[in-house]
Amino acid sequence: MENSQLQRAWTIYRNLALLVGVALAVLTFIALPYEYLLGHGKTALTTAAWTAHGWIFPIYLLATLNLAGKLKWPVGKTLVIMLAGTVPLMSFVAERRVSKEVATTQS
Amino acid sequence: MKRLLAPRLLGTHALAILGIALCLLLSSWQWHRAHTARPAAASNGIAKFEDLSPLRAYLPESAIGIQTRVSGRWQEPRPGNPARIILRDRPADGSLLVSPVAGDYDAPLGSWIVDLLVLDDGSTLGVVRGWSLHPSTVPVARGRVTISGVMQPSEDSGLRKLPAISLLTTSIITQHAHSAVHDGYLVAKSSVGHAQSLGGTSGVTQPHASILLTVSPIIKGTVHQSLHWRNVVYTANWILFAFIVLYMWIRIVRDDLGRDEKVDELEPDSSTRKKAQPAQSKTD
Repeated sequence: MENSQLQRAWTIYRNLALLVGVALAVLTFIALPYEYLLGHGKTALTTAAWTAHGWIFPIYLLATLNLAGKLKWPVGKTLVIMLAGTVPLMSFVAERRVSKEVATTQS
Repeated sequence: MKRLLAPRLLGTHALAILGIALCLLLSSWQWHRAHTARPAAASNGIAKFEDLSPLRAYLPESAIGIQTRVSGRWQEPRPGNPARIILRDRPADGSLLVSPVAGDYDAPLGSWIVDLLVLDDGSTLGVVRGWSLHPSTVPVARGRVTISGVMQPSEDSGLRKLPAISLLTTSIITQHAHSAVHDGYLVAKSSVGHAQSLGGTSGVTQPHASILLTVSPIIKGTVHQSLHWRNVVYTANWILFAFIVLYMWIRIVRDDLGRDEKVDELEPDSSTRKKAQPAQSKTD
């Protein structure tokens, strides 16, 4: 029972971490240069992309919080994993470490 | 309560309160941004001129193309300063000046006539009164007037315009003005007032030649009635961040109190403490 709850929290977290990671990478490495380096400014498409990210990111935070509760993480660690979602590509690193931890917890 | 105020928790309290305050502040900033990208339109769709074009500031993007109304007195011509700017080789439809369709550009070319209006606060505004084939026949505007029109940005502000066209810029208007100038210019749609005409220099030879056509603005703005959803979402984000800080704060304090009791009494009795205990053993 405990294990399946942890499993589910982990799955949700993992999917959202990947989603946030991809979204932020696309926004940082494509949308931002397009808007500011190429000087197109805010376009309907980039604004929609930022708005979508604005929806995904808080869900990622809640998913992290949920997993942190299951794994009894200390506050500091929870914050670090959450903040990893704000640094481009860092959420992938965080996701790998978390998944490793979950795997050892379960075995 | 005493434990809550233990010295080692004071830093946590301060940080948490600061964090929550910061999140709420940023939330209200985003809420503000969700709204201010459009000007506050009055109920009849006409915005107050002071809101659209603050003096000694660049014309905000959100003011472009919005209908407004100004009152003032036409600047008197002085020797050596005709107080009028004439821009030749322009179509009456301003939008044709920007990236026209190739081959489709056969609108008649005339001149835009820009007279300067001294507003009641003493500042000067460039007003495109209209388009004419024979600008010299158009009487100089004089007297007090109230004009409806829309604001347009200075034409050196990044528009890709037809080549070899003299631009209507704020600096050109400044050269002709005698007081502080508003950025951008107004395209008159209608005017009411006691404008007396001063006969044109060459007199009216053709009856229709002096007709002043209303110029269609280059950039036609629309008043956006919708919110900026991106900023609305960010508003919600910051509120959520505030709650996360609050949650973390409560957890830190609860864990800390739990640790106290573990040391003080060897037998925890309440259920909350039992819950807090295993969390503590793992985190430490």
